[in-house]
Amino acid sequence: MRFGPDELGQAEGNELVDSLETIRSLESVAADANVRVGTAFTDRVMAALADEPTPTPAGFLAPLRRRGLVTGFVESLRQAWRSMGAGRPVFARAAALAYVLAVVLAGTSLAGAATFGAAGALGLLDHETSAPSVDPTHPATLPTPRLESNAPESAEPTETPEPSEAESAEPSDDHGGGPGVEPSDDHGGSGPGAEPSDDHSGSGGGSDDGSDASGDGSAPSATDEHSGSGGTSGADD
Amino acid sequence: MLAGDREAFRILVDRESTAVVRTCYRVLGDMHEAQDVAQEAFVSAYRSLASWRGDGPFGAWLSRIAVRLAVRQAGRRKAVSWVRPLGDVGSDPVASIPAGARTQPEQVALRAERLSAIRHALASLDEPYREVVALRFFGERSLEEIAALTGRPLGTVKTHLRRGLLRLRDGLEPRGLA
Repeated sequence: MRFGPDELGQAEGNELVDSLETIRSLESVAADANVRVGTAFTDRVMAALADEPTPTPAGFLAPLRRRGLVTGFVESLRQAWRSMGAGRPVFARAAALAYVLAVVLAGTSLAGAATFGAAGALGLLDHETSAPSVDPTHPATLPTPRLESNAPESAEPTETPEPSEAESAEPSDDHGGGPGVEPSDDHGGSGPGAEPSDDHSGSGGGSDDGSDASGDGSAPSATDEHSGSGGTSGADD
Repeated sequence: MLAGDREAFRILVDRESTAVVRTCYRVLGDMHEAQDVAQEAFVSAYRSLASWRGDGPFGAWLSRIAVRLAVRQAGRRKAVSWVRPLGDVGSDPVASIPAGARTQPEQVALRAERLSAIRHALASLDEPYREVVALRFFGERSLEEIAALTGRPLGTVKTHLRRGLLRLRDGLEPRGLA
């Protein structure tokens, strides 16, 4: 096939001259090859092909088209796996590898999602995730240690409810709410115990009996809590 | 044939073998090597039948495989050092000799060395220039066929050819062959 200068595109001037000179050299090489091969060469090639496996006509996606997505899937995967072996062109091997990897990734993702969903439906995830997540991150906000630390203070009112005249003669306005009531004017919140009654039982709840129940009523006020919940409960007594 | 029918493939080998061996010979310059590489090209093509896109002549696809294998084989050889036995007789020692004297043994040897140097320079080109130049001049493929084979636009193939020829000339210049 003779070369035409128009095949060089935009070459001109010295570039064109140099290119044509090189082309002459190449054509001298091409003209040197006076080659004839006969049937012996064909026999040789066919003998070399004797051990070759039959090539797959349309690649590893062919079973999907032939048998459908579900039934052809396993065969397709098997063909892709075989295509990754040696002796195949790089492009075909890379495509087969990509296909197998995509299938493996999709399968793993689906299996993981299904496992996670099943565990969530069975309630396994709630039990496992709630307890460890609170303890290490917010140990100081737990209500239980705080209540325990106030326990001695809440126990004090058991001593104070004695309506002794000596204590009531103190210049404070303490009406028996215990030491926790001292700095505040809180006398039991909204509960009836907060009313300026004659009750010197020491309980914020204002119970008449001045028994152990009064301790419960004073505990919230000792922690500067002004909710008066203890008073309310004391009033019910 | 695409399903792997060996008899059909045999017909194909019969039809294309001369062109494929010739292409390999042009790249390698040795008939035995050329036949070995051509056989490898046919086997490789048979294995890759499934990947043939069918967007061009089958012979062009075979030529591309053969050129690749032949150039690879040429790259495995040791570099041939070019000697100018006639001293400084101009840019082309063969051309400087009268035509009637070219049948002399020394002229045959000179010509063989020159062709060998051109082959070596071609094998030393970078891709994609090497492939385009080899397919065009040794595989005897048109630029349109090369564009279809390589999946590149025709203009790009022309640019690659032009630059490849200039680089080839630069590679031949130090040997006094350009």
